[in-house]
Amino acid sequence: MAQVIFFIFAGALALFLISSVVVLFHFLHYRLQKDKHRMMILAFCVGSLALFFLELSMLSGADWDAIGEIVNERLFENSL
Amino acid sequence: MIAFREGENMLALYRRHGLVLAAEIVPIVLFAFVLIGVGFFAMGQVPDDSAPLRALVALGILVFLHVFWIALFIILADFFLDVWVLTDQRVIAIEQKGLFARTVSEFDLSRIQDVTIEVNGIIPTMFNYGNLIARTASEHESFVFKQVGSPHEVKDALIQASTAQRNSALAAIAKHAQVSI
Repeated sequence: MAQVIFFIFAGALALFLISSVVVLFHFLHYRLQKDKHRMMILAFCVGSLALFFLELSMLSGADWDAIGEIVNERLFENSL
Repeated sequence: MIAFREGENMLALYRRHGLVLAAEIVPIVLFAFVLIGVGFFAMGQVPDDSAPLRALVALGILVFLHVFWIALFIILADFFLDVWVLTDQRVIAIEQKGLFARTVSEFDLSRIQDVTIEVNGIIPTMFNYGNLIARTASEHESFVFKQVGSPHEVKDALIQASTAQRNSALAAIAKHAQVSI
């Protein structure tokens, strides 16, 4: 169960990475007024990188075994 | 993205009114703040014997915030890539639809037949934005620029540029006729 949750979140992060690249491409490739877009591109990159860093920290720092035990105990065994 | 012709000069670049962007962004920002508040509340409600679940709740909040962050910049990209470029020869209308669809149209200034402005509602009237419709003598009969700011000024600039372009074309024809004679 813990592994399933872990892979769901890891998949979400991979999806976010692809989405971020697509958004960044649009800002870089289709710019009409480059100066005005520079701050937006910087803000998007900084925000995305910060969120990625926090998510990876939480993903790697979480005690997935304990989470799996709690989820199994609370959600499945108690429900039965 | 836009290739200008030789001797072509850009006169102006028009986008939708900023209030339209704000109306799309504000709900997302508010919802993100509500989500953060609910998340912190939920983390506080997790009992001590289930403390590892707090990391899961925090990760869930971060994932939703990331979705909002990307959605915010998709909205910004969509706003900034909807433009009308007015040059001294033509109008280039670019409409971005989402991330993977865009329509680029252009029409010569000499083909403009009439320009219509529609300002409907209290807020568009107070903040001076509306739809500008340019009818042309071409296969694509009308071009609509939705929610453009100061539409009357845009209309005036369009008509002025169209008149100037026609006058310069007439002057070039007259000059050629004189040379021929």
